Amino acid sequence: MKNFRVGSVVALMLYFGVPAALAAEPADSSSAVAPGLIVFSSDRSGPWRIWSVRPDGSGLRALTEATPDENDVDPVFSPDGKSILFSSTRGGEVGLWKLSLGGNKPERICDGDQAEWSADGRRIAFRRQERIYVRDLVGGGERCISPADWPHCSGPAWSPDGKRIAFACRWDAGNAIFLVDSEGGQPTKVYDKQGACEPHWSPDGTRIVYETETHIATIAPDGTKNRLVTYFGGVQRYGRFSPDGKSIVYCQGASERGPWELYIIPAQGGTPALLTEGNSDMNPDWH
Amino acid sequence: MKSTTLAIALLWIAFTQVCLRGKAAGADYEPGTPATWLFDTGSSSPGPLNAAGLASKSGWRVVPEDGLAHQFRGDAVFLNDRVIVVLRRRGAGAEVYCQTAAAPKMRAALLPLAASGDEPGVLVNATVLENNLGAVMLTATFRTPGGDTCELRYRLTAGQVIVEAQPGKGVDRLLVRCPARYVVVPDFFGDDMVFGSEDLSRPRLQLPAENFCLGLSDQGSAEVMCVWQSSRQQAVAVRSGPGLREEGQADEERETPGAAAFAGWEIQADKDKSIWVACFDGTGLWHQQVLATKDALGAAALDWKPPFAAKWRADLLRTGGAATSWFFHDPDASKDGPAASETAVAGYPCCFEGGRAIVRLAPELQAAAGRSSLLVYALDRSRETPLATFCPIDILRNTLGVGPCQYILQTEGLATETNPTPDNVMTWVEKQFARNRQKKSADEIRELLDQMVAHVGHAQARIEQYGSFGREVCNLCGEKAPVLRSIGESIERDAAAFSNRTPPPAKLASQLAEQVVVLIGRKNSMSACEKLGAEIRQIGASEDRALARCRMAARWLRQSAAMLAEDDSSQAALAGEVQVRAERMLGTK
Repeated sequence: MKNFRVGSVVALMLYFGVPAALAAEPADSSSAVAPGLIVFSSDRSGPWRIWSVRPDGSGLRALTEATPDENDVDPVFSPDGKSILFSSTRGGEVGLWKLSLGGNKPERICDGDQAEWSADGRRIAFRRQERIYVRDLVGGGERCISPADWPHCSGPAWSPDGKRIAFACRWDAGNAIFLVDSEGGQPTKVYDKQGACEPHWSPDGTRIVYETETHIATIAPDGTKNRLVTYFGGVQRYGRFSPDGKSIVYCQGASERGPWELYIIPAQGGTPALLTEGNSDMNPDWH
Repeated sequence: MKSTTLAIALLWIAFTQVCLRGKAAGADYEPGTPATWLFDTGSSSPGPLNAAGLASKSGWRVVPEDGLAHQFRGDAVFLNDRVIVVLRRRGAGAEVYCQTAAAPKMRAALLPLAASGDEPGVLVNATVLENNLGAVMLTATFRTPGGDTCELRYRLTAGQVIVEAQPGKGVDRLLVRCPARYVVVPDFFGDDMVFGSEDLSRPRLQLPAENFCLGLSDQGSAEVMCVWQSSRQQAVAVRSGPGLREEGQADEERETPGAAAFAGWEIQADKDKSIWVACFDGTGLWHQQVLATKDALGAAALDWKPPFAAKWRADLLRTGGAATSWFFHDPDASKDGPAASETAVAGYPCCFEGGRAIVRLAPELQAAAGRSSLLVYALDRSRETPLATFCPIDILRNTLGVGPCQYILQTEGLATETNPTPDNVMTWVEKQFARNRQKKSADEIRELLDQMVAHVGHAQARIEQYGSFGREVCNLCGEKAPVLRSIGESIERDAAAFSNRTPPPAKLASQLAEQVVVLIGRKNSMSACEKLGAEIRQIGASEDRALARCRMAARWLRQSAAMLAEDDSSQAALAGEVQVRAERMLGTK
């Protein structure tokens, strides 16, 4: 079973630290507002930071800076592409932060990690203490939408129509992906084989990309038409659709310990193209 | 008139094309893609399908996706771009072919065996459980010669070389027919065990494998790997045909290229536990070479080059399945193979230089081996390994899950959430020194070093337990069972080689840790920290290796005792006692 899920990256970094910092100038983040941009977390400059790169591999730049003890991971674009949410250890507590790509300083939202926006950008779904919450960004109200007796929930992903949230849950018997109404309710199972977790919707809402123990796959929300997208040696993780749904960006590692490189592959499967290399690049999101 | 004729002709051509597509290969089938496809051949074949039949797919129809109610009229065939699985009506099991550039080659057959006998049954029914472009899964029902029925599920996923078998009702063992020249029981930390024809004094060889083994065949171009979920499941290698070792036969004669020593394996079925069989195909996947004495002592280039970048394993074969193992050192690779043996670290007995595989064996190594037969195969991938190339550790990840690198510690009950191994802890500590944070992190450094010293102490205690166990076996066996006694002696020897060091490893780790703590207050102490780190890591590597060697030997002792009990009834009681004690030792954490 996979022991380290997305949010565990933060704990992992806290425990094992990061390599010595290299010189890395944060870019003028306002210039990163453009269609066809991929954000990801990377330790290429020492501590984990949020970086961006164009899908053709150009324009690689750091979007966040912080003290060497602070690590930023799990970036997610807002629906309009003007902001990103990310998880960070800034201030000593793992929390959710919002960065406006227009140039403002990051703003702490609340405790938690693994956040994702609703389609209208007014709410976020996130994980806190292995349960899934929805938070109103304006009023600050929160609601737990995962069943109280479900022990290890992770990776919430909001459907494009805003009605459902996909998430993963880990049991003794393994992982499974579920759907739950965004207002809460009884989850329905999508898939429960091969350590399925890390769900994320296609832009049209007809597919969910997820990861198995070692590969990236897609499946219809009703659990049919399961498709393995990657089938390579090593480990593939963190698949995310491109804005047009035709491609998927994911991480490739020689082993479960990395190091991780970003690749882009057609969503139907095919030949992957190397996007980044050098140290570890993880948790991509594409807008 | 002409135009009418032409139009009719064109319509006829179009009609026949549509019919042929529908009849021959199915309207949607896209050959060469990683996706999985399920076919109904339309008629049943009395014998294994040949390459031409598999290629033409004449008369075959694609079973529609998610069509789970399909009733097969002929044989069931499911495939991806790497593997073809054939379930023939009245056949004895699934025949597995590799899709090679030239033509499909049968590499294995997966047959259920009932508890009532060694004869496989015949397929009487196949039902579809899963059928999409990502995976195909069938339940096959077999009727045994004794009239019993048993069920086995087969599953193939897109782009993979692995066939999963889930034994169901009535299945006692899975027979994997895969002729092999060598059977390898790899050990990621210690030495492999490698069995060839010279090790076959009986028709069935109980393997000391915990979860997987490899069969090497076809003169270097084929490997079959078998993985099972529980270390409780017994694995037996079955001898190929008659032809036991003949007295006076020379090594060279017995090592006839391509001669299969083994017919395959039997893996004990366990409730709800899968067994996976992976087939690798390609030139130079493995290589065996008898080194001339002068070459072994000097530097010899093997008659082989690695077909792809990977962590290549080299086994210097000894007698009775024993081997001395290490990884090829690759100066161009980003990182050497993990946990290479101390010998390899010291002098790189095997390395790649300018694309050649070079072997330099120290005299004592050659003398210990008695002969210099070297076996090479890829065990794990490196960062440079092509994405579409699979190594055995990839198969382990795909089947048992991630984390095979933690294998020996987990198996021995020494893995913890924080996993304070010497390597992990010193990597973290060195990062604090590199970032000049050692003063700020002083408390954490001390705490982690304490945990590391405790970890080394636990491992040392465990190795000493093995040493005591080895002595116990020697005393128990005395002169009555020399084979078992010699294994007991090897366990005692390996344990003592680690534990009897001066100072003892745990004490040395403690002393070195104290020296690291002293560095915390000093300036420019990074290089001193790294030097201490190298010494501490060496303790960890030795510990992993000693532990792995002891465990492998204990497993081999257990299997050897079982075989002795079968072969010599007068020794059955003693062998049974050794088996019980070995089981207890392996199970006690």
